[in-house]
Amino acid sequence: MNCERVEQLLSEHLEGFVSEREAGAMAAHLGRCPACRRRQEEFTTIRSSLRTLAQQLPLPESDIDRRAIDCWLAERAVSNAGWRR
Amino acid sequence: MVGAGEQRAVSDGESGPAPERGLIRAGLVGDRGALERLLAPHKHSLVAVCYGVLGSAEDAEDAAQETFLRALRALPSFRGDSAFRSWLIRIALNICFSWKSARHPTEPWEEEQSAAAAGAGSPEGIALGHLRLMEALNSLPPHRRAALLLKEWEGCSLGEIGDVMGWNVTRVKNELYRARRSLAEWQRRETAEGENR
Repeated sequence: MNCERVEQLLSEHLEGFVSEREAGAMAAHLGRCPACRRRQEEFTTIRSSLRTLAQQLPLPESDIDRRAIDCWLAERAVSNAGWRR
Repeated sequence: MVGAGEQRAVSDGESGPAPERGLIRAGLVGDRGALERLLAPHKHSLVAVCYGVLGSAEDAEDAAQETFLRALRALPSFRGDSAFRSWLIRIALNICFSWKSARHPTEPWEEEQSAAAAGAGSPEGIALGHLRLMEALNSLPPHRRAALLLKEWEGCSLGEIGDVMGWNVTRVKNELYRARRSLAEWQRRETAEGENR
């Protein structure tokens, strides 16, 4: 198993989609390849940073759903009134 | 206003496998409460995904509101072939990609601002780290970025991402791998620059 394949598997491993056989081969490769161990650490850190970022997004609490509903109901009212005329 | 039959449909729908179905039926006859219950659970997700693609909270809010409006207009044609959430996200991403290509790229992070930031563990340092990460995300191709954010921010399954993006699962895995690899390279450069500062 080469480094590129191991990197792909490291990514798939984050989704929990690596077979036992592949996980064994990947573990053996990681045991002897510092570059792939570093990549594994980087992938894990990135996941964790992204999840932390998601929790701290500067997103205001707004009523966009209500505004969209108001707008759509108003559009419908106009369209229905035109249709009845 | 909605009739008794519609009200029953709402409560039946809510306990069923597709809770949106009853809410959609009621919403289509003008039940505002049903529409609010239909849309509200997706509000935060949509704004977050739009923010991830557009990089601006204000634009993200506008894009999410536009998503809801387009979804409401298209509601009569929603057949339930995909989950309601996937359908909404697909609309949102179409809006974001089209806005993104029509507008100037986001202003790059000013170096002077970074001088104001203190150590990595301080609130300023954390905020700076987040801004840099957003910038790194911004350097990914928009579709790849969206796939990664659907995975890491929204916890979407590979199948759901494929459904939203129109990709098979193999392509989803490949795009996620490429996105992570690009961010890993970015992180490596960040670390090297940090050591040289």
